[in-house]
Amino acid sequence: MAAVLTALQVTAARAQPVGAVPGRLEFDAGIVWAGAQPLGSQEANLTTGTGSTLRLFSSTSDLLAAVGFEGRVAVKVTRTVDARVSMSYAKPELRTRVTNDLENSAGAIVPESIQQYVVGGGIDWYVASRRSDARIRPFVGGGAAYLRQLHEGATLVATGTSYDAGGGVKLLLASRTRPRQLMRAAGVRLDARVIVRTKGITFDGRRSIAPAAAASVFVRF
Amino acid sequence: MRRIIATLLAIFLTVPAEPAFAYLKFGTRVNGRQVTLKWMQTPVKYFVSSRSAVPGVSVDDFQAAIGRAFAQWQAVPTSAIAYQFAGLTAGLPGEEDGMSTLGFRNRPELDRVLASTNFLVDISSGALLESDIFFNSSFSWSTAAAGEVGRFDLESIALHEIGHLSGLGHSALGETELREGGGRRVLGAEAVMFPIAFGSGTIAGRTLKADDIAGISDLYPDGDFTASTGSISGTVTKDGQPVFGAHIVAFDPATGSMVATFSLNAQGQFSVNGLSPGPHVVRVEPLDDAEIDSFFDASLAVDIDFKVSFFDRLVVVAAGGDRGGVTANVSRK
Repeated sequence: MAAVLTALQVTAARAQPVGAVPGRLEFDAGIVWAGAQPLGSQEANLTTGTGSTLRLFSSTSDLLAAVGFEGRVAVKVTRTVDARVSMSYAKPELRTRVTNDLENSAGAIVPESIQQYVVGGGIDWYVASRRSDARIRPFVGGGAAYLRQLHEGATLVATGTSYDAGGGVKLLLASRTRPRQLMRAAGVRLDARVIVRTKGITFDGRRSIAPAAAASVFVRF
Repeated sequence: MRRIIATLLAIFLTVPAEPAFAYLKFGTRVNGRQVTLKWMQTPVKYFVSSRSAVPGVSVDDFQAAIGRAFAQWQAVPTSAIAYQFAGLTAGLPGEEDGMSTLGFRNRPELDRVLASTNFLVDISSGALLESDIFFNSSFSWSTAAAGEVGRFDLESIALHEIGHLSGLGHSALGETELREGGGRRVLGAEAVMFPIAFGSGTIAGRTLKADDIAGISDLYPDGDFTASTGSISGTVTKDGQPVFGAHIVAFDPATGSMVATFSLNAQGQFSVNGLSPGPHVVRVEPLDDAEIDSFFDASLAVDIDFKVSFFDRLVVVAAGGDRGGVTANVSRK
């Protein structure tokens, strides 16, 4: 027993320089930008007498980049690891571009508005820092989420899974270490991620990869 | 029982004036109401004329080829239509004998008609009682698996005519060009029910397309067709006025499939049924790739003086639902 206690003390002592943020529970809210998601191309083909195809027109579809809102609650699991649950909402535009019309139509860009909800969880790991009082706390993280996308008019729903991996920094704007103070820290979180989506709105059934970036303010208790 | 024979050639059909139908079907008026012609009892029993041999096609070849064509329509999983070969008959197609008969007849005066379908209709109910298909033996025919140069593919033409026999009208999902000396050449079609056949030697018309499948399923829905597909309805206008006879194509950008219809009444209304759930591109075009009377009564004023255009939004179709209120505005050429 004594040996175990000794080991914990040693670990704690070594962990001191690591850049954990003070406080156990974190709330944050902010904005998130997600990049465009190509949905693929399809041709409106007619069959010819030889069995080949004659293109009536072409179409290319994308789920456009959009800015949405994101909220997060994180709990300290260890000195360097936070577990988080998050939710985001955005209204990206699904846009199909019609070109190469056989009958010389000018073509068209035909959009619809999508409502997108993402609810999930993940882990953030604070990267070690030599300075225990550093106001910039870098972290890396990853997670998985349930993806729900509603087509225009909310008559049709597409669901899927969204995975993310990336990293960022937390800028501590205020940090208090006295035990009786409820709020232990506050600051700004900036991160960049890669988002991989499976299912949801997809025309070709393939998973999609898009960049994302977010900025939020947080408070820790 | 009052009966009337309506003779409808493959290139000619009557059209219901209203309501707006999802797919061009044959119709008749019963007590002042427009009624869709269809078989009330299935399987539809058909006979083969024992006088159906022509050079290159034996009676057995004929029976096998049309059997394959019937089987394709029957295999549509979302349609309840079924057919049954009832035997050979010494009769010929076109005879009012209570038997739906398919066979060859020599009609050289119909120099642009490969085949045609006749109906015997109960005008008190709109029920089909008998339907004969004749194939014009003044043309050269083939049932070869890969087709034969200079001969028309019997199975392809039978597939089209059996669509008529089942109650379907023509689809305009195709493009043509005028031939020197008259007539049109098909550049491409995405419906077996396009009114003009491919040239001789090809078997490209042997496969049902999404438009044909939507049409037969709309006429004889089976299984979860109604619940698993949706529709788009609305109106076509030009200068604020309704357009009659505009061709409306619903294109699924996820699959590339196309299903089409027309604005079929004086209000310019249309309805496209049998669409897969998801967003669709709606294209509106004038009916300028076949003779108007291939689709509509020649006395009806079909407006073809407008440019091809696209509805300005993706139209989202939900399973079992109708996305109504789509107003497509077109402009003059």
